[in-house]
Amino acid sequence: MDRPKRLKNRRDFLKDLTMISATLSAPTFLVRSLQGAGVSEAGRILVVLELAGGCDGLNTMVPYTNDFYYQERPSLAIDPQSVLPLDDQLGFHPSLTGFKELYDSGNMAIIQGVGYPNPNRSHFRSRDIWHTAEAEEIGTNGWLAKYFDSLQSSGSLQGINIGGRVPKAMISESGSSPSISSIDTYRLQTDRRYPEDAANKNAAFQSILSEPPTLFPPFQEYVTKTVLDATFSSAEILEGQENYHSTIEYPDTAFAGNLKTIAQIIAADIGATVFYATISGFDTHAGQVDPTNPGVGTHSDLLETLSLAVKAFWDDMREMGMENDVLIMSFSEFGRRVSQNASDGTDHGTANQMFLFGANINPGLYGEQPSLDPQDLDPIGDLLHNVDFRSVYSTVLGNWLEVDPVPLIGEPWPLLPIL
Amino acid sequence: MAAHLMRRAGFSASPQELDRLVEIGFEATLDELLNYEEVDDGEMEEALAEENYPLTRVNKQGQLRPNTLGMQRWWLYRMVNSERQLLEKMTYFWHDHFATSVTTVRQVGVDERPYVMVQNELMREHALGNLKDMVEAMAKDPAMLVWLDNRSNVKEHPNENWGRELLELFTMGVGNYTDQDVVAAARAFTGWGLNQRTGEYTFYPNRHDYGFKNFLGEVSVWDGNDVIDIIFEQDVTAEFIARKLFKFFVYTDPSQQTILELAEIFRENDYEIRPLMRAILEHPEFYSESAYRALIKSPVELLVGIVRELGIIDPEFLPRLMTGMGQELFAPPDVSGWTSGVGWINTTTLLTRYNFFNLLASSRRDGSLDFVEWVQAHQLSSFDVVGLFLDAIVKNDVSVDTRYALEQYMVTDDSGEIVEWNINDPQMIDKKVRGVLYLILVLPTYELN
Repeated sequence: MDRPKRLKNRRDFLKDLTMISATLSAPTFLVRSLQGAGVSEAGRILVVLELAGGCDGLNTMVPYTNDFYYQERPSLAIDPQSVLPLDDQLGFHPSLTGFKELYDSGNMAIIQGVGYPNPNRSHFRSRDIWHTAEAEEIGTNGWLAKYFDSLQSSGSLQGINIGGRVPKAMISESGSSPSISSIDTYRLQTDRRYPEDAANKNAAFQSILSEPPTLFPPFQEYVTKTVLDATFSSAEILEGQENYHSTIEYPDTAFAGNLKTIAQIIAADIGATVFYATISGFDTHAGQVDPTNPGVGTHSDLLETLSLAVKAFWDDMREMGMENDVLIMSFSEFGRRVSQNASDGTDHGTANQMFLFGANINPGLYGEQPSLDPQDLDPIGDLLHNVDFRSVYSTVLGNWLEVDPVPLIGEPWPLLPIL
Repeated sequence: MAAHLMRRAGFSASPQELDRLVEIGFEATLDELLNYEEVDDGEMEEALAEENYPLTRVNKQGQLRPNTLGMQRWWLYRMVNSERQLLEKMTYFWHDHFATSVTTVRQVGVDERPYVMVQNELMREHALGNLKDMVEAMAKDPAMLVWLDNRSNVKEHPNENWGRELLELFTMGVGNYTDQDVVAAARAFTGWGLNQRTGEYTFYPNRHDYGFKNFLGEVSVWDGNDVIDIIFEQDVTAEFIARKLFKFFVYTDPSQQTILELAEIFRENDYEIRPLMRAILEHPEFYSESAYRALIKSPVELLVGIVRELGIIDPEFLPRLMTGMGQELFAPPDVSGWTSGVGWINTTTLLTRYNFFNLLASSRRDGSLDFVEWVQAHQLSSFDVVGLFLDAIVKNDVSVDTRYALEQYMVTDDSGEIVEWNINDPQMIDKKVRGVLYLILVLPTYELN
């Protein structure tokens, strides 16, 4: 897909929206919603991947020459012969063949030892911390939503969640981002027997929705705004879905399907610049590995799903000629305990890796692998972080989306030389 | 007020049922809801038994597994038909609170009941009973022992999953204990296991850690029962549960004062849930403007509500519809339950809700209402139709402008001209009555509970 066409669509779209909002004499919240669509100031796309449940970083990027690792994980440690080595200390889990390819082709950066002070081992609290980028108190606005709200043409169509629940990262007091599961079903149906009446219904609908939704606080406005987002975004996707012509075969997993949906929406060019997808199941307290072979099992399957899906998506972006415009970032709410438990699993931990994928990154390893020496662990037996995740967010906001990260993330966090 | 009460303390009610409740009065209605033992539900139980929903199925490997669809239909049948509405609503609340998913807990007991069904019955048994009893029962519940891994919690390497969620999600709330307390709780519950053969809770002394543990500042050789005792000595426990109930039944931002008062009542009654629920349902805030239409309907509330209000869809379809709207009974997304409130409404789930309304309004299945016959039999004007639907569906909770827009729609023809309502024009009636039914169902107000 060529760039000029993309920009032309954008202008047409904005023009149409302006016309619609003018004819509706819409209240301010409606206009805000309609004007939401707009390319990021930098014209770049960010894809955020959440590894929900707390991915076991030590069995993802394996410290395969570290004695402490093998001592603390008698039935869980990955056989050093089977890892996909990066250097003489660290190797990918054997399932991460897709990641290894991306790393070898210079399209992947790995940030080690990422975390935040006073780590919280509650899934839900730690997830909130990552989603709001506020580690000290309970924040209400998601960090991506804050980014959308800060843009000139702010609004909810900037970001799109794929799959189910909209993550807190994309929710702020001014609303939440649309969520799309499959573009084929993402449309409003009307009574097929009376197509000639559709315009009347639509007129009544629009007239009702343009009333100030103030009768029943606090949620009537939220619902009304979501109705408007749903009708406009579904109409846009319906119009743009023919643009997607891919020869890439995605793996037959729900997560790969979600990444394909992102590719389809990017091709449909509805103006969204941030996409979010979640892969769940990393909370491996028990049965993390097969008891007879720590190289296979639940965690291994998840890593394979993740890595093959990202690889397929990356190949798709290249085929679309978009690889210079897309950055992928992954995170998990925490890593897991160094020492395994008796259930062939691991309990909630702390510091972990983040991954970045892109054509314009400085590939390689960043941060330091935290020491596994029991003397260097915290009182619970967990790793100490050496990179704050807000440094990574600030780097992405500052050097990829090209906005000032300080108003969004807070005090100038040191940027990493990745982008 | 009766409609508001029944949307919250039950799964809504038909106009006839609301008339009956208004007739017997507020006090008697509350008594019916709370003292459910005195309400005869035998007819529903018999009819449900006759439905004979399959709760298990045999998989390809020949193993007996839960039949999730059958279990969902079984429970939805109760929600739709039970005369004990608050009991089913509370069971749903606890299902969301002690959220356990059949996607992980696949076991079926020797009595051929899925573990998660046993848990569901356990929740119904304790739903308006004593919270401490319920927590003790949950600690030994086979589904929970599998779900949060306590069956493999042993002294050498404790598994913290149950200990952590017991404190964080089930009783005290995050921030009221330390990670050291989680470790201590996990150690106290070591050896609380599951007998693989009988599928029953069993204590395994050789797996239990008999050492000293510092739990919430108290040091002794605590076991699981002691940990639960200590949890229920904490003031925050009553506050945490009272707040969660208030947010589920009333509105989402209660004052600290309100919660402290309710927590006090809860403690004074030794964690009996029924007096706390009476206090919530009698609370002035429950009937205040701040509470009215101030919650978002979950899929189960929306769909069971439609069936109970209008009786126009076959409950058999409910599980599939709910899945599209993001909720599967017996399969909450994780141990924290469903993200309720605004979490129910995103653009995809909203389109699914609206497309279901379209299906409902345009359905011509056998047995669906013949609108032409209905309008002609009662000689209804276009105003009558709008009025009847607004009353039945959104209890007239609409602005004058909305009502006017709907009335205009009824008499706007295909070319956009205003015409006369013609009761002898079957096509006009069918088109416009179905159209206005759809337009009323898609009012944002209808998403609010």
